[in-house]
Amino acid sequence: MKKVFFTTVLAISAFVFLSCEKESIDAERPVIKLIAPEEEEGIKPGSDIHFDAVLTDNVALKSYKINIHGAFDGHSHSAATRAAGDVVAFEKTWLEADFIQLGDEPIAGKKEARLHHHHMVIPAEIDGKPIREGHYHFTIYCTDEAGNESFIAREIEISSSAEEHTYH
Amino acid sequence: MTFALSFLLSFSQTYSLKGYVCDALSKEPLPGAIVVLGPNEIYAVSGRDGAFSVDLPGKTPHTLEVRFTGYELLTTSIILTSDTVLHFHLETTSYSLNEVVVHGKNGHGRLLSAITAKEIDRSFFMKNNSASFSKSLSKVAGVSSMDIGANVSKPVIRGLGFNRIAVADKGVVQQNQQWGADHGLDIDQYDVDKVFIHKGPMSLFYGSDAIGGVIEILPVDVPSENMVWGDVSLIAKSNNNLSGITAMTSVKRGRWFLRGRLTAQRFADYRVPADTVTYLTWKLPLYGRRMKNTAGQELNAALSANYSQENISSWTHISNVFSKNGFFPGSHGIPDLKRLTPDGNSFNIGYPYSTSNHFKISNGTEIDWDNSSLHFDIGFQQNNRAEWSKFHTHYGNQAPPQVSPDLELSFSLQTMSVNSRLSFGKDSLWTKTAGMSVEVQRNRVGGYSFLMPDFERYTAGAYAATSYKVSPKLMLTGGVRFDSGKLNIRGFYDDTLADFLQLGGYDADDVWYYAQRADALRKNFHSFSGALGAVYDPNRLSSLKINIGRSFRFPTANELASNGVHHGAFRHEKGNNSLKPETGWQYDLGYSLKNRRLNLSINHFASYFPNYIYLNPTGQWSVLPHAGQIYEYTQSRVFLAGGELEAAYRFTENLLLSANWEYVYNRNIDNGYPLPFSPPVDMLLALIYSNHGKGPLIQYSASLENQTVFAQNRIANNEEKTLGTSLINLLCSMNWKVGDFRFFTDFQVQNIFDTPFYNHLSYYRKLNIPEPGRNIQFILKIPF
Repeated sequence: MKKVFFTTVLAISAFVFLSCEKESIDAERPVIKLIAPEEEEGIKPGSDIHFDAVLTDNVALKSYKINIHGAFDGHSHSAATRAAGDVVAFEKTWLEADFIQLGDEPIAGKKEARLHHHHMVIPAEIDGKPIREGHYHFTIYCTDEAGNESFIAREIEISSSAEEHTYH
Repeated sequence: MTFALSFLLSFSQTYSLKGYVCDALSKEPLPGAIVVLGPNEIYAVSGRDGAFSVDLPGKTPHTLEVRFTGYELLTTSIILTSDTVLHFHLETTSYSLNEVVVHGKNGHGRLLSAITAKEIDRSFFMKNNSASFSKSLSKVAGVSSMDIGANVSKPVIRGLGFNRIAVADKGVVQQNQQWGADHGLDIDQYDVDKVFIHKGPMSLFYGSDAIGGVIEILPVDVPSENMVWGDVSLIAKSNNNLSGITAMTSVKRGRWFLRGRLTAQRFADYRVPADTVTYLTWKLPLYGRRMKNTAGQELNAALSANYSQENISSWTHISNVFSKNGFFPGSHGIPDLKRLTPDGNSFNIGYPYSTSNHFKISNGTEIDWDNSSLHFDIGFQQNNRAEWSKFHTHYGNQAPPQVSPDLELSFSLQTMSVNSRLSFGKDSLWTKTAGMSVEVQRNRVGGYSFLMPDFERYTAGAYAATSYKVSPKLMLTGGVRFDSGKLNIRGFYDDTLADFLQLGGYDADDVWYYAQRADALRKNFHSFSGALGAVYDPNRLSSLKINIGRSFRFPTANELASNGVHHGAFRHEKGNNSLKPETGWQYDLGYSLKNRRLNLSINHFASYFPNYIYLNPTGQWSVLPHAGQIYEYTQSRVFLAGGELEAAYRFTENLLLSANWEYVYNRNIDNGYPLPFSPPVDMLLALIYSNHGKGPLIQYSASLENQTVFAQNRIANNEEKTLGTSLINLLCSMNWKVGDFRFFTDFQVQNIFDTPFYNHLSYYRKLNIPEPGRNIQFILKIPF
């Protein structure tokens, strides 16, 4: 009986460990290298963001997304950030599809993609009210074709005293 | 282990064996000790004077075991050549309390199953006292814990957790928000006396959710004599400056037994062996090596009453478990350095934090007659869980609520459950059991955020199970069960989010897609489950178990209907209303061997789920802030396998070496990926020395432990690989007597070298936060 038992265990274990793991799977996330905007970079209301990044993946990239939202009082996002007095907080999501419509080349299928554009404009006013100045989170998400996802967040400052950046 | 022999001559072929069982130290008789004589398994129970007598055939060897709660098991073998009188001097186990008590009969008939069940008693929890009930259980091979900081965790059996295991507390399945990653178990670890861990499919007896196994908590043993006793324990832990007290009083008078326990604990932010953690490319400082705002409090009360007479035993349990736990601010939202600076008080609990209150009342009654019994459990539970976080929103049009403006999420879950079973032929070769269970649930949510919809859930099941003793060595078990369930989910349309998206220029379809945070749903589910097993005991020392079972669970409300960003996971999670009940087929094989020196247990399992529910990355972006792609609940074929090895070898009477090893392999067959939250290979070695002391030190036991956790490189999408580690722990338990004053001390140093390590299953793993560092803890227990 013991022999039967151990033989069974061995046989099943062998089956289990040999029959699996033959497919290659990709659990490695894409890598986001965000060159610009830099941490604490100042952006003037009404100007566009100088966006410069390199996305890489071990197999194939899929897409990316960018979101900007307020980070005003030191907390990541605080109460009723939008309508604080007569200023309006800015918040917006751009999908890669928005940039493709503007003529950008899709990153899908590539192992490395250099992104460099000025498509994202911070409006000077929203609904006739000036935009709220202060700290914002600039976040970028990137996926690969296997469904792996990366995320980077950076703080930027929307401020009318920010220097106009030199375009490249 | 001493026993004295004296012989009385006789001339018959069968000889009588008379024995006296007494405490080795006090020489007081021990009534109610259980004596097992092999190979034909004759049972005897010692009487009031500690005496028992049996007639045995002579000239053949008999194994003899004397068991008594709180005492070391005494085993020996004898050959009778004459009528014999033996004196058995039992020694208390190092951790025994003065519960020198054993009940006449076990009030609760055990469920017969061929699934390996690991029994754990109070002394285990005393000796292995850890941050929580689940954390202590994780020392058992095959059990791991998912930790949320230092004091909150939930159990995982063979890689299955959340709603895939059930915790049955004294007959009633614990129902709280177990689907949630940041939820604890809501069980007072000091109020647990006896636990069976069933590692395998148990839906046959417990219905939905008992796929991966059941942690069954049983009531305490009731003494047969009238007595009053109790104990007070003081607990101190260095890592999070925990101080705690737990006190118990028990009274046994005639047919009545009453017991109450109070537990209170308070702790500060826990310490980690790291000065910084790197999360999202930011280096976050951990001032004073403490995890800011992870302090907490716990306050628990429990009352149990038992009434017993010849053929009836009725238990009533009332308990309330409350806890308040802070969350590391970096875990909710993009971390901000300003929120991590110390506030000068490591005990305060600021935002964000969670509170949880679990109230439970249940009655379990068993009536016996003529070899038959009727057992029922009726329970009511109210679980209130809330998460508090300073009001924040992405939607400028959302104003803070008038009442409780900082209540982010609240869940109020009421559960009413009734289980009953009728058993026939309990002491015969063929037992038959028929049972049924009904559970009704109502969940209500609140708060300025939304995660889970309101719902009502009704489930009912009926089963028949049987066991047949083919021979003294072989027993077959089996059963079938059918369950039916109904789930009504209340839909939720998020007007605030809809307005926000409209302002952002999204079209009506997109607005509806995101703002419908939960679909209104009415779903009916059915599933059958079953088990077939065999227990083969070739001799008194070894046992072989095999079981094949089918289990199921009904999809939960969040899996079916929720839609939105999970604030803890930072993911847009989307329910799927076409999910079918998840079913799993599992085979288990277990072998155990127990002799004077070696205690060995080997278990192996393999299971197949044709429709395992998991969150699948869709590759489609969510337009919502703080979310990347949308993850949708999907069903897939999944294969799991693994096993455990537990061995304890006694070199001498004083020295024991134990080794536990566990392994789980799993794979999503459809996409080839491992499942998320797969426990890594874990090995626990312990060298235990126990002996009598001198003077006031009656007994002591010291153990040196080495826990080796291997790296987990088999990860699902969007999980982090986790490095392995090797930790050294020191444990020391002592039993003291100064004059008539007895007390126990338990001293532990966990993670002696303050080694930084990660728990692959931990809630904070994704933030790259290491587990708590070195902890020195001391427990003083004073019985009275």
